[in-house]
Amino acid sequence: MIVFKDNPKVARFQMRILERAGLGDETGLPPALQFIPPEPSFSRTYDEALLVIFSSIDELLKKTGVRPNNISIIITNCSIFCPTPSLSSMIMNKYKMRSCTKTFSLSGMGCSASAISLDLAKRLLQVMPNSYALVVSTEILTPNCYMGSERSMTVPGCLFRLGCSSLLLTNKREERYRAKYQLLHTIRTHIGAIDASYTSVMQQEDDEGRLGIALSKDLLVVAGEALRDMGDGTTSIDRISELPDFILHHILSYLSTKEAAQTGVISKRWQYVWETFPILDCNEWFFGRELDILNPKELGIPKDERRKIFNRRLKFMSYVDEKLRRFREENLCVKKFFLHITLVSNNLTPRVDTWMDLVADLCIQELDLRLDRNAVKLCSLVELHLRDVSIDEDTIQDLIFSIHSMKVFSLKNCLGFENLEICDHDKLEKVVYHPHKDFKAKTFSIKWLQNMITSFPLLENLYLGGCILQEVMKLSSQVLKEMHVCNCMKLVEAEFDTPNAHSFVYRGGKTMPRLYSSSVAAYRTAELSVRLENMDSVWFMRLNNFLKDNKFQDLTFCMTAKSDKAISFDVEDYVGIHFSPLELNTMKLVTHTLTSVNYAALLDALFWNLRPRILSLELNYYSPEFFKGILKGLVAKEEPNCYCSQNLECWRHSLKDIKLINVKGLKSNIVFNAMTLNKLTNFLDDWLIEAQKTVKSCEHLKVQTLSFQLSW
Amino acid sequence: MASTSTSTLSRKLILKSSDGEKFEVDENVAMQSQTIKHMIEDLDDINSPIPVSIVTGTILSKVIEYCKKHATEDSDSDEQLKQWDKEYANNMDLNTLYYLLLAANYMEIKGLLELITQCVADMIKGKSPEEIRAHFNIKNDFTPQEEANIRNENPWAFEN
Repeated sequence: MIVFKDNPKVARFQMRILERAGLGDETGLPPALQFIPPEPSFSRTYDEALLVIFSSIDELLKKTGVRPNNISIIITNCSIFCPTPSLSSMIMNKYKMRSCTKTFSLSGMGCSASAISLDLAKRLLQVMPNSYALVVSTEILTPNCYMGSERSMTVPGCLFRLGCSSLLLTNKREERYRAKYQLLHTIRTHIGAIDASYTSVMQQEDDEGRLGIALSKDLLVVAGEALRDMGDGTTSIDRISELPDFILHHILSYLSTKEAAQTGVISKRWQYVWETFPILDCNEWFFGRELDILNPKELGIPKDERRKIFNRRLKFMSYVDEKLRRFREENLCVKKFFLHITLVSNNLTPRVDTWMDLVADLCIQELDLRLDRNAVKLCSLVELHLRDVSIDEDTIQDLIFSIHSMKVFSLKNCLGFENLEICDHDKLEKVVYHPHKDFKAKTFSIKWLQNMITSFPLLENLYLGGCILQEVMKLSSQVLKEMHVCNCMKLVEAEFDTPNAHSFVYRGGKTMPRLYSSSVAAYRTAELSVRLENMDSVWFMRLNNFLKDNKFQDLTFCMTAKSDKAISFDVEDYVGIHFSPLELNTMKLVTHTLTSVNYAALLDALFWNLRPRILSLELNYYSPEFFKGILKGLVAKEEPNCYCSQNLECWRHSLKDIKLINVKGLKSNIVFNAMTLNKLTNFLDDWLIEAQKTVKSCEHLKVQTLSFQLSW
Repeated sequence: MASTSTSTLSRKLILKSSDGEKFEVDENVAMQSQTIKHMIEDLDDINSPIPVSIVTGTILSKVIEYCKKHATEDSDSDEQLKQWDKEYANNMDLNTLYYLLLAANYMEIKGLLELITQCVADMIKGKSPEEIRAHFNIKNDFTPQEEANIRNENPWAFEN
């Protein structure tokens, strides 16, 4: 196909290729391209496809004598022309084949497609016994008539001619005798990951917007490389680089850091593997053994050498910087972090502090710090959080000992130490401790706890989690302000001598421990997680004593219930005991339970001696039904047994009125009674519907509270 | 006598490789693989073949060889077992090592995975990057300039 146009240069180029391409006289172009000018319309394209495909299949069927009905696989491949219905469907329709025939129409795969079709046929025949597979390979030229002047795009026009091949493959044993060839091996190699290979044959528009196919000069080179990759057979393929990252990391973990770092230069793949290697080993000795010399000047090291050492140290620092930042930015996992550095001057410590901050953010599984104890003055580190860290006792000691400024120390889910003995530290204000679930140590003794508290004279916040505490806990501190005790299943009894405490949280235990107070504390807030079925008259009696001994302002009850067992609270149990009602600022109720309980008994239990001025109900996804019960109970007309007696006034009688305050969408200061109950129930229903919508759309559900003012 | 008593004690399982080859092994041999262990737990009928879908017969036979050796651990001392492991790994070509690694990973056989990764690590040890490339047929896809840059970034790794 030569389009002379008015560009004799291109015409000459095409002539030259035509002469050298070795195409014989029996090759031909499709009729559409023989017109002047060519007419590459769709119908002519279709005609060409029908012509080449059917003539070749007809001939094949005639020669082999196979009936179209016996063919069970059809694979066609044509790079450019991809009509709908597909070429394979055209064949199905023309030869009226069986409906169970498997057809595949490959396109866009260029010259390699016929080999790919063969491989596909082979794989299909492996799973479909006793079948014929028809492979039809062609290239339809009509739509690919390029009429521009871009040299690389005129080449296909010179090289490609009308044609199609049809192959019949079978795995039928009885056909073996007359088969011309036996398919022994197919090897597939895809080098499309390499840009040069990918762009070697490319359909694109030239500068004038004419569509064509550009064959690059690299084509022969990359095709040769692809063949070489295959040709060398299976022994020399680079398999190891194909292994998943974590296996390669596993391999690197057996090497020294130096050897592992060397692999980074092997290839791009290995560079990536090294850069994401989750064991960060930062040792100053990599940059020179002399870096640990504390005072080179005193040792008489000449100035030049000192400068060199200084520069090396800088390089080491930026190496660590770079590594940590990269891991942080790309959110990579760090399994182990080793840091070995001699802090020769105090100027360096802020840098190390920033590292520690970064380290704290990374989800590190093992931490090994070798900081020269005498030299370390991590002067600015205030908070150290270690999470999922394997750390030994000495390191903990070192850290706490050396970081004088540390105020917050948190140890969550950590392993590697037998016993946690923390030495004195006079600035520590907050300690958070959650042991790892595999933690083997026995429960900690009262003495340990007391020791720890006296070790930190300024300790204000103590968070303890997990069942590390013995059955009886005794806590005595003049400065402790906040205490959180979470999931301490074994705790039965707790005694506090904490006159300055103002916040107390007890969460998650199956049972509520007995709480005692040996000194009066003016608690501002307390939060208690309680299981309704565990609460009985005795428990409330104890709570009363605990609350009475300390002055509470705000009390939060987080209630859970496993069964709808009635609450075994009965005021009758208190006959003959004198109580004076306790005043509270607020009482907050939170629940995540869906089961309904005996609301009358619950209200009796909550209010028999507590007189909160404000009652708030925290609404969440689960609570509306529960709170409806509470609200109904509050205004119940048919009052349950009034228990007014000499020692106790029934709460229903002492409660003068309830006012609604501060609810979005409802008038405030309206009196809450049987009349307004309906309004509130509707409000709760609406709220739940909204909440369900929010949860369904995966948005964060905002907590809302319903507050009531109670006048006693 | 001893062999009959063990066979009555442990059940037989049939493992089926990706190319359809079937292997009959003692349950305690197959249980070295966490994956198969979990599969058996979910399986009602242990007589049906258990598919080990990505492992070919040739590789699976090697995996079973390893598992058999390690299932009867009391017969050999630790020292002998280590020696056996070493010879086992040294007899493999690179291609087999690659497929064994994938198989050990897929079948979750920790010991085998560690043995082979250690073996590959030993091949890397003591070799220069050029030697590593040649040994594993890894193509250097850096330009000389890029390679020099990497070497300059971490000079400590490349100096002797």
